[in-house]
Amino acid sequence: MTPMAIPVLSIKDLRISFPTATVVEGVGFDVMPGEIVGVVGESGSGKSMTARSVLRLLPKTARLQGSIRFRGEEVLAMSPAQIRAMRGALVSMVFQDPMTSFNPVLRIGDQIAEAVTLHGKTNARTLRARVADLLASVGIANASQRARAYPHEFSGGMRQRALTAMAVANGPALLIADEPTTALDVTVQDQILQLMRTLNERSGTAILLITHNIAVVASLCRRLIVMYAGRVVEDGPTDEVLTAPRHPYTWSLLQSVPRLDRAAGRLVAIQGQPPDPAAPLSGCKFHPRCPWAEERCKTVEPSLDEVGTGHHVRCVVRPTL
Amino acid sequence: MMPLVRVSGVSKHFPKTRAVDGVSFDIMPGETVGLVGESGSGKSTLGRVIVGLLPATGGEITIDGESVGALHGRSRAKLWRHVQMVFQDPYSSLNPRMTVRDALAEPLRNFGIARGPEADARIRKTLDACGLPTTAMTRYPREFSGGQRQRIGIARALIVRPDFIVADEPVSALDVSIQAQIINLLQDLKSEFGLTYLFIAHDLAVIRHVSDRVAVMYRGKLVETAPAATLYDSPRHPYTQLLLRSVPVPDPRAEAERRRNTIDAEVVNTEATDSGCPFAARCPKATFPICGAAPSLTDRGSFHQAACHLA
Repeated sequence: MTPMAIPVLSIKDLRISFPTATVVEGVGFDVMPGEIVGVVGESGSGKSMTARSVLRLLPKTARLQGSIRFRGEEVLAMSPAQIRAMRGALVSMVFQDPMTSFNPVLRIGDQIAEAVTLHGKTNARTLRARVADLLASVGIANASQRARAYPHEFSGGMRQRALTAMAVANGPALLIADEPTTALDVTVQDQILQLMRTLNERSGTAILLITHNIAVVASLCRRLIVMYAGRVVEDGPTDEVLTAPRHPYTWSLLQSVPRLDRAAGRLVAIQGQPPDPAAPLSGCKFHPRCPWAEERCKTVEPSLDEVGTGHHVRCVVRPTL
Repeated sequence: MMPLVRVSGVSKHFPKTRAVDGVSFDIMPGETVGLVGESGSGKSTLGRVIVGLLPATGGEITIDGESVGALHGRSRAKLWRHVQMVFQDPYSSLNPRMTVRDALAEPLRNFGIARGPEADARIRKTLDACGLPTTAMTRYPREFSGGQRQRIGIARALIVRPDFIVADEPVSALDVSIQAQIINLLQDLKSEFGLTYLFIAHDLAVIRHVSDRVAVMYRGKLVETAPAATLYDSPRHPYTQLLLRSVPVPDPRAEAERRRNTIDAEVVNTEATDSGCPFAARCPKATFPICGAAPSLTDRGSFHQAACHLA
């Protein structure tokens, strides 16, 4: 096997449960080196929990089962020290709200410098230059001066850029971005997506992008994973999933979003609510809201089956959509 | 036809910011006007000024021919009965200690519309129109999901049978699959009750979908207004053009095309001043000294206006 064939991240049969509820069940997917993979889902779909489990950033009461392999090594078997060594150096994460991710009383540059020194000591001058380089690489002008600014002196977009600079400071193999543009204005969102694209092209960093916005995925990811109620319901090449979705949930989601590039008639709304994880549902988790649901959907939980090259769907009916 | 709402030269200045600065537009009866802009554009402040939650510091708002500022006491209260607001977060706009029945009975009592069984009948009818079961009456806001809470927020605005509703980001806090339900509900209620809407949102796709006419705000000023199709198909203001170019679309081919046309370098014009065009600092087309003066909103075709020296 060539080194290229080893996924950066390989999740298999992941189950995340809390004393009161199971929030993720049977989730599995791979992220190959240099690949950008998008995970789309609504609140409660388990997309953020899945992302956080990679760095073991879940609440203490969470119970993890299954397998999460980073470059072939089992993350679930790692010691706390091994996890710390991995965080920030090999795998790093950017979150939705860059304001709460920075310490408000420390200068931006010092916080980025801390991230750099955590994984390797260097002298002060080299460090300052490195921080300025990092800030410049994410498109912040006058980087050495701006490094002395405090988080509140940056706009939301600049903070997200600075956070991204900090996340890639040690050249991680994988960047996990959890709703990185949700709190941002659309013009700034476009800049951050462009920044992620550039980082990926320039340094080959693999990116796992978590979002509720299916259009953001279309812009950035070659592969798309759709989650619903803690399960992967569809995954495949982005082009194929968006133009020819095979799962009723994916199809409904695409129909229910107003589009900028065309005037639509009435939106096709998905009826009802997403299921409550504390009140488990038998059968397919989407059946109460699915217009194509049959009797068997209420009892049989479908498996994730291959319907095309690298395209999987968790649906027994598989209607013509 | 007389406009139902006339906003003329309205300003809301705070000690350090001009949140809204000399904005004028009309809303015709039965029309949905979409007000779009990024954070800090002043769109929400303008919405609050129009419904009277904030006093204007300049200009005039006329609703149904009556100047809002000139009215006091009972006649002012009578006017507000015809104007209601739907908020972004129904959880913080509903009193957590009030049952749905109490929350809906309150405006009926305050405006002297109905009490007791008559009020209950009206509450049941309004809940039904908003897609909620009558059993909701005895329950509290926390017992409902986000989408259902927004239905309660809409029912509370609707119960006094207003003519005009200002909806401020009514779907942006909701899950994607729930947004369409609420958008469809607002459209159904509009035709059922003959409502007029000012729909405020940052989501350009949502605005296109619901609006007859769209007004774009930037840093407190109206920069462009046009019928929805015109604005989205042929925007004239460089800011509107930038906004529309920035939105990703869930279609791989359209998305590839969009990215080809995107300029990723951010423009910074240091010659821009506060007294000039509000967009001059970020405008890729700006030339000075022309853009150092504030442009006014001028006609660019039928019902199409833009505030730009160059467009």
